[in-house]
Amino acid sequence: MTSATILGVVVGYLVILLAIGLWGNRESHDMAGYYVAGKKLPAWVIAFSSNATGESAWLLLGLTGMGYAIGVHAFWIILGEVLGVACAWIFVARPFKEYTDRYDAITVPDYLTERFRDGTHVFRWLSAVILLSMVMAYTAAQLTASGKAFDSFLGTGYTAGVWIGLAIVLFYTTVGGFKAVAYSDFLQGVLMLGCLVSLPVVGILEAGGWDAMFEALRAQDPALLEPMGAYGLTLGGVLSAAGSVAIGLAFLGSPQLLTRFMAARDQKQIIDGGFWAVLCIIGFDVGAVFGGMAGRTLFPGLSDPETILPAMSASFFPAFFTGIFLVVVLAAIMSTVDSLLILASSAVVRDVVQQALGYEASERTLSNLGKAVTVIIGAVGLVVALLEVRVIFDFVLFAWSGIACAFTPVVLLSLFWRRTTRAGAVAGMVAGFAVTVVWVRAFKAEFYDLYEMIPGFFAGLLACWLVSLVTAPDADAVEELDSVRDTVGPVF
Amino acid sequence: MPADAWILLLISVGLGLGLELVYVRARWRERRGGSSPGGDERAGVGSEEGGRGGHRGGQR
Repeated sequence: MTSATILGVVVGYLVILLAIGLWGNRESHDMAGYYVAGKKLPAWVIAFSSNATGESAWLLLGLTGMGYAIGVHAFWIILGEVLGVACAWIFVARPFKEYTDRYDAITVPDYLTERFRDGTHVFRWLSAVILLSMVMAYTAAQLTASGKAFDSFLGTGYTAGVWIGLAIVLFYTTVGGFKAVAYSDFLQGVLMLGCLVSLPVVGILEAGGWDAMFEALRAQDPALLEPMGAYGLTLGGVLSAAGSVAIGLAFLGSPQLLTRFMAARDQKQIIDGGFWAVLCIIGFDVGAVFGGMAGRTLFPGLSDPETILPAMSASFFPAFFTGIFLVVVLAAIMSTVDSLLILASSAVVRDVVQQALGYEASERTLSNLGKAVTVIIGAVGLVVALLEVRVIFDFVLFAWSGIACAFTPVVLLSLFWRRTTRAGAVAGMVAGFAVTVVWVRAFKAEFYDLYEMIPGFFAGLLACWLVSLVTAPDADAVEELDSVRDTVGPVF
Repeated sequence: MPADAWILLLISVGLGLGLELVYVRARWRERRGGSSPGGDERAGVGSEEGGRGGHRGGQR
């Protein structure tokens, strides 16, 4: 697999990332610069960056694998993700941006603390515990994927692959801060889009055209062409479809995505960015699913469906493009890891050290502390990835959905329901996170593998709603919500 | 591709895209009508204007 061309493409890509890190350096010397790029990002950067962060290597390997394994049943994932991204940009982004600008907030716990007039820092501690534990596990898993990708494409060996992946991400994240993270995510998002648009085109042509592909799929397994999949119209089929749609809920309130809205230059960037974000996610998802379906006709009987993208890129594309496909897999990994590292760092330094513990220091010192914490979190991820600590890897099962279910229901209610209270928000965060964990551990296998986002999200929503009903909201906060609503204006 | 799969695909892509297009059209009309969208062009920390500081802004 290793060739000078592939190596050249990968090295070229890594050099570009390092250059982006150096370029972003000037902005990263204070807290707002390091964590939200000084709130100066343009529409096109936040659009691609949020989608690249929201997808990870799951899009390239997992979703193409879903297209391969379940055919058109994977369209439900497209429905959930496209709707999730559209609703996030249409309904959530502008009021959230308005609130966070009013507060000068640079983290989601900043927003929650101010929104609920919380003097106890409960949101900061709770967020730090959830984010740190989940981010470390997720980072370790992504570093494992990085080690395997470098090893399989370039023969570096697993350990060296993990080290190379982490070193590159840590360099541009700590040197360039959020600006480097967002612009590198933009580059990575464009590369992912290019590959996922070209993959099905080449795949369908290789399969003999559109009709021939569907005939071949029907011959292999008629259930591949059924919207309800092999389950048919049964409870299992409905729950499977609902779980697929629920994947999109994470786009509505996960802090790593909300940070992009916070970092936008102004409201106009959000209005302009939404359209590009929706087009981008359509290209991502439709390309991945159809690429996987085309791959099924070309490589039937793969023992692991998630290897279909590497198999297709190696067989049907020249070496240069095989290198690009490797870069894209790395890009998907890195664009998620960089955002999570900087998110966890902000939870520690901004929320706990500076705000909760009241540590006073210059902006530059705090920014440097943020960089040091980023390195430490990355180093812990490295140790876990190299030692393959089993108990930590168990966290990965619910890391993504755990973060989403802890924050999304609370953020949504805080933006749209005047009666939401501080106690309700705390209850919602705890319930959303806890139910996600318990569901994965104890119930998921018994209930048709129902995706934990559904029970986790609705538990968070219900707990926040019920506790808010029996507690009194802050009058100031109610007035403020009306004011934000007036400022943002009607949606349609 | 079977008709029901086509319908699901069109809904999957069209629902989100359609919402976004209606939203963009509403904002475009708003701009043509002369009223800028809420909070438009206002920047937060780090901008040339500095933080806007709402009722509790500037505490940090």
